[in-house]
Amino acid sequence: MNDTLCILPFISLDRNADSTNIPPAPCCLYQAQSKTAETFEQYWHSDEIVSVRSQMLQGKQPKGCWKCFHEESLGKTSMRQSVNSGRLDAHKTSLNTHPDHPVQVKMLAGATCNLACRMCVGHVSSKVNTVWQAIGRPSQDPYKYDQQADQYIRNNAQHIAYIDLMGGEPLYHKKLIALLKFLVDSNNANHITLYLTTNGMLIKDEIKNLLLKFKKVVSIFSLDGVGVVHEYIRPGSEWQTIIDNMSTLRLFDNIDVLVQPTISVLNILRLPELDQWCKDNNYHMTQKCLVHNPIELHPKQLPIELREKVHSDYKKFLETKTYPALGFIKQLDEHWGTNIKTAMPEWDFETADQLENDLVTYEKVQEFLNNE
Amino acid sequence: MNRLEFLRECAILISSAQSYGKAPKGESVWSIFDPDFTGVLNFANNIFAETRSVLNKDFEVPPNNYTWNDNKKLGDALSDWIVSKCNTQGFDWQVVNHTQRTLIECVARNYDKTVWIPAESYWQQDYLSAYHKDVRVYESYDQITKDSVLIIDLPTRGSLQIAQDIDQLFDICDAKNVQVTLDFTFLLISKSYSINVDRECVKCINIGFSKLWPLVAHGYTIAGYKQDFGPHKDHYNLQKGVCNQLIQLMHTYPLQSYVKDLENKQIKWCNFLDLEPGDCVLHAIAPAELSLYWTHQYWNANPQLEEKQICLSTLFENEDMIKRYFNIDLSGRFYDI
Repeated sequence: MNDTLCILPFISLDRNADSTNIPPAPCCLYQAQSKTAETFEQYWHSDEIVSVRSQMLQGKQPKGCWKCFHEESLGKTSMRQSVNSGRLDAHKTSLNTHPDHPVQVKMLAGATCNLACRMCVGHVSSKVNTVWQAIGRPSQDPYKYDQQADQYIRNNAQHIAYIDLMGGEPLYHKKLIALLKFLVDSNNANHITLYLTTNGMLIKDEIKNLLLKFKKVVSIFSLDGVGVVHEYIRPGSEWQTIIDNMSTLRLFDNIDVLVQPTISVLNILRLPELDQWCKDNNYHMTQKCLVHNPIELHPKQLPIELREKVHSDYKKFLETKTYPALGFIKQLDEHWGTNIKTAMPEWDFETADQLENDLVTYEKVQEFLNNE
Repeated sequence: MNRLEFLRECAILISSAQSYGKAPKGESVWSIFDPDFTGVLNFANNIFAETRSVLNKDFEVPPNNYTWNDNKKLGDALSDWIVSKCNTQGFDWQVVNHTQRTLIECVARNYDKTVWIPAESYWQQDYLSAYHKDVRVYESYDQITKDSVLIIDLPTRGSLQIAQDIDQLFDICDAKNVQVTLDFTFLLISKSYSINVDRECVKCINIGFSKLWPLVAHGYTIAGYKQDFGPHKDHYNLQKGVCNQLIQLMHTYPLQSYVKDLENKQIKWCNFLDLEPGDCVLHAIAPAELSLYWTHQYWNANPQLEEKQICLSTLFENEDMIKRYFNIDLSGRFYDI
């Protein structure tokens, strides 16, 4: 087996997670090298993806796959390597330039969401979009339910082995629930593994009963802290409801329950607590996400006064020192009528108020100097 | 607007303008920073804590023709120029490039002796501890030991004052055979102090011009010695031509009138800020509400120090911009804004 091979171009139909109508791709990291096909069928037989498969089979690194190879050059584990470890052996028969069918499909359920998480963005969550409109922050339109993927899954369900469900909150969308019902009623659920990324608030009996019918469900719960910290970061969520749902799902043999946090300026001090909570409760934590947008909430924006408190495991996320987090946090606190200092007292550091005032002054000064 | 709010806004304004090249940049590496919030804030946090000269665009440094330094002529010119502060006759002068040079030479010549430094002089303690194994700090004169060395800045950095019983200190040094090196860097910008250096114990005087004139980038400091270090000492001037430049500067900028101009600015700003002017014309006595900017806080020095001064140089430099920003003419008080 050569060192450049990735199983995804041979089995997967994917799209970028946070865009509307983006052309298909083998994975969410792939960078298109030409104007790609618009439909799944066109894509599966397009010159570009055939070329990617061919190059990989020859041991070459396709240009569009540079992100994984770059990660590997830095000594990190790439998505290519992670996916290969679980699926390469199982799908060796697909390793040719023209495999018959994709067996893995990304299903984007649209931005409809029941929560307005502070570190989320307006085009990925309808609720965040509403908040951003209220506080005057510009946003792209929320992305829509992927009707084409829905139709493709219905038409090719007998060939599909994996479906990756993402939102918004996937379980908040009636069309997606209808799709799951279709897969159950058409006797296809029993050969499909679902990857479900969820905020964990909407696991009703109807949903549980559907999930039980699938071959396997890997449920990935987005948790950003423990208790009040999680509830602060994800307004609208209830910690007890979520952990009850996690406890219920893990009782079923076909359902795995994983935890995936998003590292942001809001929780970087509290992630060790979540790590410990997962350990104490025997939940496996997947690779953590890192907030890049809103940029104010990237961990590097953590005020200098709090940096010493960051656990050594997380110091690498601090990078350069800046302060813009405070203004955005305050804006959201005013919108929600909350106070970060109540949820996380460490934010009540001595010069916090001074810093907020300094930021206002700094912006005023920039405006003055622009006209000087 | 309270006083701290006003000064804080000035600090962020000046720091931002400096980062964009729209205000005079300071003369040290820490005066160069990015215009982002962190860069500006880090500088704004100590902008009134660092004592430095006023960057004056009208101040002209004569060209250096790199001729042989005539130390004798420099000594004569200095003696006239500084006469209101002290009598420097009897000392042989050399050009050094920084006060550090004088201090290092002092401890090197006295490598086997204890070096005493006043408790207030935190900069000298910080600096010399790296060069000499026996640097000690005294809080009362009777701690100073026989046959040792004393290095003291007058006015003393911590308080920017000179102790009233300074002659008693010199008496003790005479009696205990203590060799004294005086640093007069702050003396040049003081209004009221003068010093009698005609004492047996005083062996060396250091005069740095960088707090008075915007010269720190040129590194012009001179050291006067009462001891004769040999016939070749003229070879050891660190920069050629500097004697001539300094002589010309002394003719162009007489000490008393230059300090008087600074004092006028000091009084104007202290009136506006409702602060007591310091004896050094670049400073104001700052109450506890402004402790963020006390110099020894910036140096993280002994918190017991009674130094409560802030340096107003950047306000002097950027007066026009500050007036435009706040739409004021400095005739009133800060609390009118």
